[in-house]
Amino acid sequence: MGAALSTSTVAAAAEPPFVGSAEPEVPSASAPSSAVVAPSLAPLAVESSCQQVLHPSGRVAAVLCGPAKQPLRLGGHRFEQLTGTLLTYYAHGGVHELLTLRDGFLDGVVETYDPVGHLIERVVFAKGEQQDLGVPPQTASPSTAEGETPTALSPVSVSPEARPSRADAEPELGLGIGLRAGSSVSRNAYGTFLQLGPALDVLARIMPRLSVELRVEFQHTVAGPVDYRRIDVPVTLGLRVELGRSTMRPYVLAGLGPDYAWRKIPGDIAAQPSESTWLLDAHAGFGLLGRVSQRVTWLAELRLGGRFRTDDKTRLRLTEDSGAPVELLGNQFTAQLGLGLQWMP
Amino acid sequence: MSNIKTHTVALLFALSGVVGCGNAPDDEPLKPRRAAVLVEGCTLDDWQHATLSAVETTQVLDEVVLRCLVLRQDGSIAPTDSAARSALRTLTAALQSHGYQVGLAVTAQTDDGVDHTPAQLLGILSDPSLRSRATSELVSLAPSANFLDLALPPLPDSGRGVMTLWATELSAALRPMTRLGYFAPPLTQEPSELAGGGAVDLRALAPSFDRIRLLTTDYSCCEQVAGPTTEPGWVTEVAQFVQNRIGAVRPEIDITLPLYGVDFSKRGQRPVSYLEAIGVAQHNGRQIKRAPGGSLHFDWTEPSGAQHELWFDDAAATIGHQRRFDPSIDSNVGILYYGLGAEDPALFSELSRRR
Repeated sequence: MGAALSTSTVAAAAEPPFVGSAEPEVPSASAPSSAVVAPSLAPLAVESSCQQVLHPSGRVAAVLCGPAKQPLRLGGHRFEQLTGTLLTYYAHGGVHELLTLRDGFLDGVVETYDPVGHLIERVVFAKGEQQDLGVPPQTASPSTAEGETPTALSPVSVSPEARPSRADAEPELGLGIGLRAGSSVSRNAYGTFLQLGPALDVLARIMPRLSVELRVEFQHTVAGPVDYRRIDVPVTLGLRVELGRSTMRPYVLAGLGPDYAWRKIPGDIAAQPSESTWLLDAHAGFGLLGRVSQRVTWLAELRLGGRFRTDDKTRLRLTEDSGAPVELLGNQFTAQLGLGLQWMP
Repeated sequence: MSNIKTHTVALLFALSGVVGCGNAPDDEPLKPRRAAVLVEGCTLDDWQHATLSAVETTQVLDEVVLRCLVLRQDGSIAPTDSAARSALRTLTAALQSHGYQVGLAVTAQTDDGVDHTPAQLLGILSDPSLRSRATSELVSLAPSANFLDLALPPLPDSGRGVMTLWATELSAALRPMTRLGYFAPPLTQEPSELAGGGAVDLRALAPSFDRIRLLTTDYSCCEQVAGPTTEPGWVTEVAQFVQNRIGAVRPEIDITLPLYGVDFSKRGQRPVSYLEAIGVAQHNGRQIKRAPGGSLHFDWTEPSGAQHELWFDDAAATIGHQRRFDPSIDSNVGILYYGLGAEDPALFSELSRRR
């Protein structure tokens, strides 16, 4: 993809101006450093007050000009004698600036994107000077003639590949991990109990908005019926679908898996020290993701579901002072609230 | 950010709690007391034999009482055949070789193994010839063991004089050749309201015996409400009452702790062993509960729908009972563990650890 982008950018520089779309897309995170400018646009002159700043990956981070190190996109400077499209990038690979140059001067459209690919500014330059168009930037069209205002935006073409792609704001594939503090309120035949504990998620993004989640959780009772001490270790496999692409976005999920449940029988009775079983955990829920940094996201979620006993072991029942014997480790309804952080590259 | 993560992880683990932090076992030594165990019968099964042969058991027990001899309606004492008596002598010798003092306890039953009714027993003891025969047979059996105990079923209140009389006769015939003991009901008052309690004149009986074993068992036998087989407060009350009645030195006093449990239902009460109780609980899927007094219990339902409530003690419960009455009962009061074979298999090793 990087090679294709480079080639098309070079080709575009030699073709008639402007074939870009009116609504730019989010820059590609995988654009190679060679896409800074076409090879044919290599600097011809040396009198330049501007300097490129590169990321460790080799991509251009910024072009800074003058003694004040002011970004080139602000105009007023000449960057060598370049003619063509110049892209700068964020550290994570997303496009930061799209600069159109002619003979080293800004001449054409100049766009600035935020780290997730949203267009935050579009201005037009002519011979290094910013133009006050007084019209929305969507006026450019492929049929616009050179020399007219819109076409002045486009002395060089910007190929679709060079345009930022919104879907590419985050990697389509990737593995991540999450750590959550979970609390669950469950109700079974014996009563209602509260459990707290940590959870570890392993996430695999298989589509831009779809992730597979492997979750291992440890839950320990902190409140409930007297002497009801229980530990649950659910291991579930689930799907998570993110709704939207904003920095704070909701998601829905569903999961299924086994849950090892163990409870201590009170009274230090050697003949019956504890009871354990396997339950089937099935749940669905929703949550909210919010970006902390480029790779770290906080999340808050609510999962609702049930746990169902699946083994054939004799189930212990306890007769309360009044009423029929009740099962202490049986089917249950569970509501889980989770708060945590996740990391995805 | 790293601080946030660190604090988050710390909080998670703090909230998770600590698993398995139960109470530490109570390993404090118990008050030293002489201890005996009662075996129902004249023979030992393999389990009982193994238990009595174990080093831990020999460290705990001083005496073994075989509830073996039977006073019959004709005044004879079973077993009567020479082979059985020979086997009994062999058994007592074997037990003595383990360091135990071995005693034979005498009960009174019909040939089909049912206790004599109070009237039947009164009839036997009221007949001087039958009483004399019984006395002479006990004299002949005395060399087989270290001591003899009377463990008779209840007499009617009118048998008070006869009982005291026979005790005097036995004492004269057997002592000091052997030690003589008496199984007394758990009296807390005189005259007693217990079945057979009215026939027991403690002050009159005391001079005739070396040991009085107070049957502080079946605490919940008679109130139509299921409950524990013994209770430390009650045991203390009985022991203190009897000591006050007869003096603290002679005869010696033992209290009794049952090793068996009791299954209560509308059909009546049935003694059950610890292992049977555990089996019933497991088979019926019942969680066992420990009562505040330490005893274990659960209820269960027969396939026919009959309701049962089962109470029993494990090693922790029995040790707990002792620990509760230890401060209140003198150390010269011994313990008779009633029903060898019905106990929690861990009992004697646990008791040994607390000597």
